[in-house]
Amino acid sequence: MSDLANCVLPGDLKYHIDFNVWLRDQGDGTFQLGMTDIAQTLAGSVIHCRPKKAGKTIKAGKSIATVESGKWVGPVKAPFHCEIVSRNEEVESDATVLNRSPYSKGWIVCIRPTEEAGDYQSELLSADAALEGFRAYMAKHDLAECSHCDGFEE
Amino acid sequence: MEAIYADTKYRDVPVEEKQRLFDQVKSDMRWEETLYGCYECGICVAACPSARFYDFSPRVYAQIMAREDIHAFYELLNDSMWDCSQCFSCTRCPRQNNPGGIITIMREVAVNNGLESAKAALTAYSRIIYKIMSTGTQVAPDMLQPDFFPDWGPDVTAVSENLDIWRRMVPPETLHTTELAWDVAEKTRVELFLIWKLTGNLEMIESLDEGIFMILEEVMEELLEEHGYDIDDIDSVI
Amino acid sequence: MKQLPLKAKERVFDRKGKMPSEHYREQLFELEAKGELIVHRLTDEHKPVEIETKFGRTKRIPLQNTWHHKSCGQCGHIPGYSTTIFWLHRELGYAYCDPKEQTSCTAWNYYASSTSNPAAQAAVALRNFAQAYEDGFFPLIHCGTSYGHYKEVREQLIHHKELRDQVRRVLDKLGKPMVFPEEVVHYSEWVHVVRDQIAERQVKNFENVTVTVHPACHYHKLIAEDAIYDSELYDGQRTAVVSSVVRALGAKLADYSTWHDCCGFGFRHILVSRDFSRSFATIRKIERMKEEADPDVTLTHDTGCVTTLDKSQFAAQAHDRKIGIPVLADSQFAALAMGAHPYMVCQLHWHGVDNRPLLEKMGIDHEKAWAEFEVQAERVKSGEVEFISWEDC
Repeated sequence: MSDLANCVLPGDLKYHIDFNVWLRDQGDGTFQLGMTDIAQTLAGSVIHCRPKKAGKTIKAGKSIATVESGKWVGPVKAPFHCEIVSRNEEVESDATVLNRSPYSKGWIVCIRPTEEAGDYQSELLSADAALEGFRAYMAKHDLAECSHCDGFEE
Repeated sequence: MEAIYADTKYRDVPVEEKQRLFDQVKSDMRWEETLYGCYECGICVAACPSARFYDFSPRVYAQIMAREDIHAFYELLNDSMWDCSQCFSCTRCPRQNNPGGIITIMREVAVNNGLESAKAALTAYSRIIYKIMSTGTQVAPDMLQPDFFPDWGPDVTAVSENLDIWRRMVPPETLHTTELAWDVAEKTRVELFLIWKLTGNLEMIESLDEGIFMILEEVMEELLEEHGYDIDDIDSVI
Repeated sequence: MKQLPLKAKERVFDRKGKMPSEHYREQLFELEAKGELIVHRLTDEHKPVEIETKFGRTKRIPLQNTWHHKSCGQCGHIPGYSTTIFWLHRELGYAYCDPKEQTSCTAWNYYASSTSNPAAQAAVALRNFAQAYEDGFFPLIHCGTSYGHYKEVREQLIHHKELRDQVRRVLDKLGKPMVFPEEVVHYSEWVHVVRDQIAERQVKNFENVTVTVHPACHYHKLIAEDAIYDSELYDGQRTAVVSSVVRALGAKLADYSTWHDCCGFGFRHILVSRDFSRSFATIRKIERMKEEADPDVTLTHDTGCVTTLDKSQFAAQAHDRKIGIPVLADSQFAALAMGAHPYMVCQLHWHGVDNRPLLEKMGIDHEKAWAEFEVQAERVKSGEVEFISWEDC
């Protein structure tokens, strides 16, 4: 668990700083993906999350899900070329899970890198390696620290 | 030439670029009905709500545009223009000028040219753009959240906590939704998306906010596809 | 020879002086004659009523068989507003259509951000009008901004052939005819025209209710000549809508010095720069009303105005400002006069400023009404009914 201004960044996950997402290697060639603590803080209370359907192929940098909060709407971007294996139905029915449990119950999609993904691992950083990058990201977005709602799970 | 103010947050550009932007405003279809000549009476300023709280004056717009001062125009384009409340109280003008109308055109030019100042002014607002363009209604009941409207008072919290039940208790059938202002028919949304494509409106959003454009294009592409349209085949007809 | 200057009450304001030469209605019919568009006409089926506008021209207002062009802000945030407009039609026996095949006018966004263009705006407008034409009902516009914007679109279309051609190309692709209604009608003009019918059905006494009126900028400042004026009210110097209803219902119409000021909505400001909106609304409108007229309620006839005036008052308490005036739409006021349920119909629980003292002055038992509302809420919560219907109200 890395420590950055009250932000939770579990040590067993990989991160993509620019797109502000985490990935969990499932060990079978697929990755779970979700929004980081920083992302959920920036978004505020999430009202809707609409992940793309399973079976769709997404290019790197394109939207894998749309997230809408009281003050913001935007894409969750794919860190590499991938195919969506499955999506979390729970986030569609209760999007607040993204704020409450961004790293476990709030996973958004499960993806498999495609051939075009190339050397995608080099873009992903461990929690420690990502610290500096996230610090800069937070400074750029004027975010002093992460905030957690009632019932937040790490 | 450098900008007059030391603390300007927008970059200065060559005079040719300022002229180009100025010419775009003057070549707009609406231009000829916005300015007939200003004799500085100040009635517009007296009527203007924004003039009371911002360093903003509708008279300045009429004057600068009439004098064709393109350097001052460029400053206005990047700065106070977004303070205007578009109420058109300034049309009290005895010459029938419309400073608010001048500003409507200037804003469109700023957005179309992807000016950084326009993007900055509209950052917080971009979610609304997504909402209106993708659903055909500007605000939805589920936007009444205390973290977005904390200053509107405790009724917002009450509404957000009871939203689903209270919406079901509004008699008109078309209002039985929390995601949209009213239930918009799917065919109507398709027609709206076609209008955005046919008038080049979607492309305008790309120069403004890449993230919004991305998700908007995807929503539109999906629905259009379901109804037999290929979004890439629809070109602007204007 | 009369002594000059004449005293104010001796002056006759002759609004029928030199009329401007062009009239939008004539121009629309001219365009129709050239085959450029179809004019959606008012016929006897709409029971149109003739009234006067600012410079003495006439305008006709349909009473029934109207296509209700709804308002985003009303339907989204002030559902009692739209509901009371429909309720009044139902109570007075006027048939209407409440379509799902309607888009927003998108003018809130247009005035907030200019992320659009005249062709897109006109195409959106005409798509709605074509839909109304195909559905067989005459458009009635709920929002002040939609109304002002559509008057603006009308002027742009009449004066710019290039725009007409652009919009025609868009509509052709949609398979929709190019239609423009004979009149652009705001719902408050309808309420104005039926105010005596509302007064006939009035069951609550409003004699002790003092009202200030706030007119919507986009109703009477955009294409200013097309707005209702009446020589009997304000000597024809201010628009007559809303105020006429206050008079008809026997309430006290009070004046204040900033009557002509905007409310401070700002289109973009009300969503993302609210310090301006609430400062303006509080300082220039609400406080002046309170100091000069001390009204029990302020009425207006536009979505944005209700929103701004109502929601701006809460935060102002932090600065000890003199606020606390409930804000209602003219349709809600009229509905309450006719005995409409304050919560089931007028949906007053969506409003910010406490309107219970007002209800008490109107002789409405709000505690009993809220208890009735909660009983109905239970029916929905328990799943007994999925939605509340008109019959339940």
